[in-house]
Amino acid sequence: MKSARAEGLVLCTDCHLLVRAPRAHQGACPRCGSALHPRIPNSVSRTWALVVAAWVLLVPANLYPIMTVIYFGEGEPDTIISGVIKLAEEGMLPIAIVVFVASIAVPVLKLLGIMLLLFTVHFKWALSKTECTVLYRIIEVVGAWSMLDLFMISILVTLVDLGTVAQITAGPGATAFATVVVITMFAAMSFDPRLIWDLQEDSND
Amino acid sequence: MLYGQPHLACHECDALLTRVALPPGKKLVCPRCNCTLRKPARDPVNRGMALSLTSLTLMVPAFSMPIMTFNMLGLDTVDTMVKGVLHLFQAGFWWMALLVLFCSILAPTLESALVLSICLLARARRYGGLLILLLKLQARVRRWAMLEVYMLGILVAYVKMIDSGQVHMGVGMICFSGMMLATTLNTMLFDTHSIWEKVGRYRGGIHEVRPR
Repeated sequence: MKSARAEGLVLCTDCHLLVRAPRAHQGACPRCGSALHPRIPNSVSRTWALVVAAWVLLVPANLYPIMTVIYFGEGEPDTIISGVIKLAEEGMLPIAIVVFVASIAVPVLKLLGIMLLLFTVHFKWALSKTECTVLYRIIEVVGAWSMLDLFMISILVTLVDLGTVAQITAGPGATAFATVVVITMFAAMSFDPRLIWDLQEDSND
Repeated sequence: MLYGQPHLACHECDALLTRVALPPGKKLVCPRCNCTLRKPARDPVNRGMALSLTSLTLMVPAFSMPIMTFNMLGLDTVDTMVKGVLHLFQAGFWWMALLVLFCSILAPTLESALVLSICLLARARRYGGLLILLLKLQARVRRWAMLEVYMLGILVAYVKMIDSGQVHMGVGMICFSGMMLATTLNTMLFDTHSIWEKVGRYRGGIHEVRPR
């Protein structure tokens, strides 16, 4: 199966019009005016930069408390992990699993998945292209679910605001975690899945 | 429904494909990577309008009416979506507040408003620069609307607080559920391709690039 690029055609990223472009990185789409690129420019290096930034920010996100529950003036700060453990200890195992998946498993596996795709493209690993594409799609869809913890905090902070009796406040870890979520979403967007399939054409020729 | 161009390329694997006639209700799938390329909807414009109007109407109570109320030792608190954001702002967590505001309130509102205006312009057959701008914006805003995640957030918060006091779901929760359904369906079903195809005169054949 031939790729559009091999035929000198470029797909407009915005309106999906197929355009014949004589040279790469040049010209605008005749239908919608967006810049035409056969592949997302600098996709790999941009994605790497975002992945590294996300790993760095995951450290404060997990070390600092994301939420503090204050009962009668006594505060118990919770990090992401201690929050999950506490939920499990209190017998709310299903909820603990949901929070664990959304705030620990998803961001970490997502970053590892993107790194696997980046390594595959860079070292031309002979992995199944179809499976890599499925991985890419999972990474794209699953990213938003990490916001779960942040939404939950915004609800709890308002709900448990009983002055001196009980109060829940957000913590600095939440700020770092929010940034991790945004950065990983941008990382997934900046990766061009067509690079995976380009490997196949390179080896066929 | 036959789309204009004789060829198309998969946006996920760049396979060059020949177009086939596609009846409504069927979808066109890339033979190489299984990506859904086209999914023509029956009457996308009217359906898009109906769903966007539904979600925009339900948004007003969903954002401002109580999602949950909490009672502990005779003290009552009420949670609404807007209050949740304001609370974070007041506590100094402006970055997190902005993010929650954008993903749960602004992006869904924008998305529904954009689909509504796109449909209105398409009905008026005004396929001009404004429609192009709105279509591009809609594609960018879409992925930041996270109402399903917020829904799960509400449920987790509910279960978490059940042992500490009395928690009740409010009217806002019912409106929120309906609004989430309408907005998510709208995003899933809205066929932007069918509108792009009508923009400009670019329907038949492959086009030469225009110098910038």
